[in-house]
Amino acid sequence: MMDDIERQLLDGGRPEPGRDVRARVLAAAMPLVRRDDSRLDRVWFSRTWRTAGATVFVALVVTEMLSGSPAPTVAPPGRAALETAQAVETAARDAGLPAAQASALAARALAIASQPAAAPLNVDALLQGSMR
Amino acid sequence: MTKTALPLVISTAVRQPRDDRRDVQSLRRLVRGDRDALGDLYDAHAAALFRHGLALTRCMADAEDLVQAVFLKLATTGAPLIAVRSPGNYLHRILRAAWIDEQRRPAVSREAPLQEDDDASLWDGRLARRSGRAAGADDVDAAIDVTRALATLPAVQREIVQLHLIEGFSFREAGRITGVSMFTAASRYRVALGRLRQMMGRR
Repeated sequence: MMDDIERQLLDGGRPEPGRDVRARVLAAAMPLVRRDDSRLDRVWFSRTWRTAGATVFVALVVTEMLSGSPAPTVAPPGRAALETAQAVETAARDAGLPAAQASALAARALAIASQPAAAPLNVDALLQGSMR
Repeated sequence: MTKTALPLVISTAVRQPRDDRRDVQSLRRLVRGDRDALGDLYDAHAAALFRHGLALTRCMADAEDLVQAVFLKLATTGAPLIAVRSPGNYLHRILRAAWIDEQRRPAVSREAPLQEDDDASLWDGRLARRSGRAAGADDVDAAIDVTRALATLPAVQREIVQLHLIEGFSFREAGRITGVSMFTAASRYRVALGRLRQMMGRR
């Protein structure tokens, strides 16, 4: 609610610029007006477009977060690796090793043979190492 | 309280929301190169901008220069005007920025502030140009006194009184225009009115 001071201030009149000011201001400013409404500007400065862009970005981020990264999968051992492991197990049994140790050697051989860019497996060295 | 007093309270307490649609359209026309839009914006806002400038500078010539600076800036801004949602606030912000720039220039290039006698003639002139309102001599004298008292306040206090009370900006809008929070704007207004009451000998 207004008090008397505010009321008196409101009653204090409202000055306006002189009559010649409009002509002077417009004469100075109008020549500077230039057409500047490229499509890119309209998109860049439009709140609608900005909001739409931000919404799409957030939607993409949320979608990415909800879908999550795919679970790491272990590639099944290749056929060559299985054959190598089987050969190692057979050789170990032939050499007189217990079945458990032969199986462990086969698993180790399978792991080595399954590695990408694995070096050629030296079965003799593997057997000799386990018999020491 | 009587029944007749109620509408007055409501009319002073509730401000009509501004309709910026026409001004927004004018800005878009301006971006498209329509020079007449500049004239429309001038007719809609120049008087308020001038009064804002007058509140800051207390000098009519400086206030007119600030108005011109606003419209020069408006004419050269171009596409960013598309993003302006509240042209009234925007124009007043430009005016304030122009005033700050002017303050930063060497003092010798600025006009000296008006003296007491000049203030009196200025504010008397404000009242002399007041149009179409019959008022008693006592009312006019009181208005002259309080308006002179207002002229002695610091610029930021004169400014907030002008923006909020005279031009009808909310504290939030006035705060945005002046670069302070809504609460700071309200505080400045309260302090300004308090000092005016002190000067007028009222509590």
